[in-house]
Amino acid sequence: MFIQNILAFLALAIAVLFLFKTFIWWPRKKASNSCDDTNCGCH
Amino acid sequence: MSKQINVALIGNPNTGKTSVFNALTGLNQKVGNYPGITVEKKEGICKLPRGVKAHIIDLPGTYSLNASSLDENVVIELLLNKNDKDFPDVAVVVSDVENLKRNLLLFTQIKDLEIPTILVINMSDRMAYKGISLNIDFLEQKLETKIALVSTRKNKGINELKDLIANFKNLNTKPCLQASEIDKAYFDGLRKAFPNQLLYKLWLVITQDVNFGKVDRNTYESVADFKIKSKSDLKRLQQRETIKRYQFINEILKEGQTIDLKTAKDLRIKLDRILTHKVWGYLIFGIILLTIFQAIYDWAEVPMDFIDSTFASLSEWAKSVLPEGPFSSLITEGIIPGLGGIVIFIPQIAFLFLFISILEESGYMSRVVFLMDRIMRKFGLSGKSVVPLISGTACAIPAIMATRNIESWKERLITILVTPFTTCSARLPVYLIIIALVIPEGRFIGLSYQALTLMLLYLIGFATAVGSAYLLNKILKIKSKSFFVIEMPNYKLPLPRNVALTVVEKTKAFVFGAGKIILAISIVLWFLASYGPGEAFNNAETIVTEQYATANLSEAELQQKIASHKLEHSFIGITGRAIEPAIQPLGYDWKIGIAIVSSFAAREVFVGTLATIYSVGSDEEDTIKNRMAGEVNPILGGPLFNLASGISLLLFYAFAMQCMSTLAIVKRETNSWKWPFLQLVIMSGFAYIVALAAYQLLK
Repeated sequence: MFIQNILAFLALAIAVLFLFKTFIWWPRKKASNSCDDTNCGCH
Repeated sequence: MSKQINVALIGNPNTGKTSVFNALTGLNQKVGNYPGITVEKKEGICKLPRGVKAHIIDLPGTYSLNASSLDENVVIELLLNKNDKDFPDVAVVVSDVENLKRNLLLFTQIKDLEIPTILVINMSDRMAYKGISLNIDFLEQKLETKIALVSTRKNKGINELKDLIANFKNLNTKPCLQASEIDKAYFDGLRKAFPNQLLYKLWLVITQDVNFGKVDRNTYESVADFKIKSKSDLKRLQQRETIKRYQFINEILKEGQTIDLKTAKDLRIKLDRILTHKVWGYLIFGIILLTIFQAIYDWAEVPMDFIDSTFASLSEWAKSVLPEGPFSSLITEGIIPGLGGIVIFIPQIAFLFLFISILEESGYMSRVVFLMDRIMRKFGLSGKSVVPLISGTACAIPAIMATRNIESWKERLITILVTPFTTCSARLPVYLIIIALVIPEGRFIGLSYQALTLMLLYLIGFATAVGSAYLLNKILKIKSKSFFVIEMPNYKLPLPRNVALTVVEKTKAFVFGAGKIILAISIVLWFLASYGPGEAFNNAETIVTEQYATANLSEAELQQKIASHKLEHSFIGITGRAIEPAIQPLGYDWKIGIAIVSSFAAREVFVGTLATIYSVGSDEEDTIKNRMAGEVNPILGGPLFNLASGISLLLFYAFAMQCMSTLAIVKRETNSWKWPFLQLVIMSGFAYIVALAAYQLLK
């Protein structure tokens, strides 16, 4: 039962981290060389 | 150790470049994005003779090296930058036998970059049909290259192409056009200023504002002897370059290509006359849509039932073999039902992509875009907005990215704002399960009511998008001009291999993309539904047993009451009850409320959430559909999912902005939080009002 509890909470922690990373924390990607100031015409 | 060479597949759109890529790489391919931007990057591995391996990149389609979009920029940046890890050892330019003249413009430009280049003339099987004959030796000699005559449809010429790629070192890298011919004095100055650089590369840097290595436009400005011309002068020189190239191409094709117009049988003109007709065109499109929706229902029924019952049995089997405990319950009551809620829709989604892929491959989709342009213009949009709106039936995210080729900012913004109304594949699971529960199974002129409802929902989505575009066009005070040019590709029988690859790729992206989120949400939901605060949850057994002490319930019924009591007092139950007053007027209970809140992440999570909530604490082996059908309205009695609440839910999902990823993309594409925020408030507010009205009228 103890191991089952650990596994279940481990699964929860991974799931929460994954959702946080997917929807809340978006890492900033480096823009490509030719798109710096003009942002590739994307306004 | 085997050698690996980089091969870039380049070509105009609609030349069958992707078919050549598929023929070379088979299933050894992967799709990603170019770093930092959202242009699709397709690459694969091909085994060549003598143990050589080729890393093949299918570059975005482009008409020339004069870039006007992000996609085209990718091609130029790669071809100019020798330090790029993907810089090609050999470029394979794919052309279409029927449009050789136009396709050769790009070929001559690439050749002038002095990269070993092979010319593929694709669709060679159509030569006899179109009365075309080619003098390959003459063309090879004049274009200073090797030519592969390929027919991906008949699987001909691919081995010869592989041989040519393997022997790329024998290719001549002499340019087709001396760049200095464009303007001798100007190019002499350029050569003097940068004696060690390739002249045509330098010219591209000036005109395209791209860079290679350490050379960019700023470098030019620092050279005292050389002045960059004004924009209008540069445009004039570019035009001169194009004219010179076409003179060269015309000269070659005069002897290298003959077209016997008497032999050519042009079915295309006849078909176009019907398929783009102002009455027949729309009628045929309507019939095609009806057929697709009917087929989605009829063909997918058996595999869906099989998947549904398999997951129910799997959950039951897991319960019987796993030791009792929270982790086992998480698997049997959380993960398996949650995943079942998405896997069940694979057949219908695969069929939808199958039809879309066939329509695209056959060349019919371009006719649809042309047809729709007539309607769109009345609503302040152009035909270019149709492409994102149609792509939106798969997913709003790539569709919003596809708006990048709309030059007018106003049209682009409107298209971005209205695209999420079109029915994406994530809505499909919600629609399908609700329709199956509340719409009867009868038929009308051979078409089932369920298929007609599904088609109606697609049309409602499209009509709302167009209607909103009309309103936005009136409201937004942005001045802009636009034009619409579309190339009508030839009609062709879709290649089964290409169709199959598209279906597999798109279905996989849907299942794995949504699957990861659903798996994570199922785990979180299971915890929230299996744990709760206070006495009401912890002493549920004692409370319920005392409450029903005189009711003479069977053991199974008592257990069901305990599970229900626990769920109501769990964390999820408490949250659900808190939002219940807001959703009760729409005919929903707190469980549906939780599913709506969790599906804000992605719409398809709705079914998985309900599957998880309904299975927590339940010992019975049952399918998702049966569980939902068995739910009782806690206030009015009777089935919870009836016609009124079902229609209300369908309309809510048709209009609500239930997709965080779409909001993020809108923010990125508009570079402002204002637009996604307005989109969220207006779409969800509208969805609430319509769903409320529908329930109150139908109940």
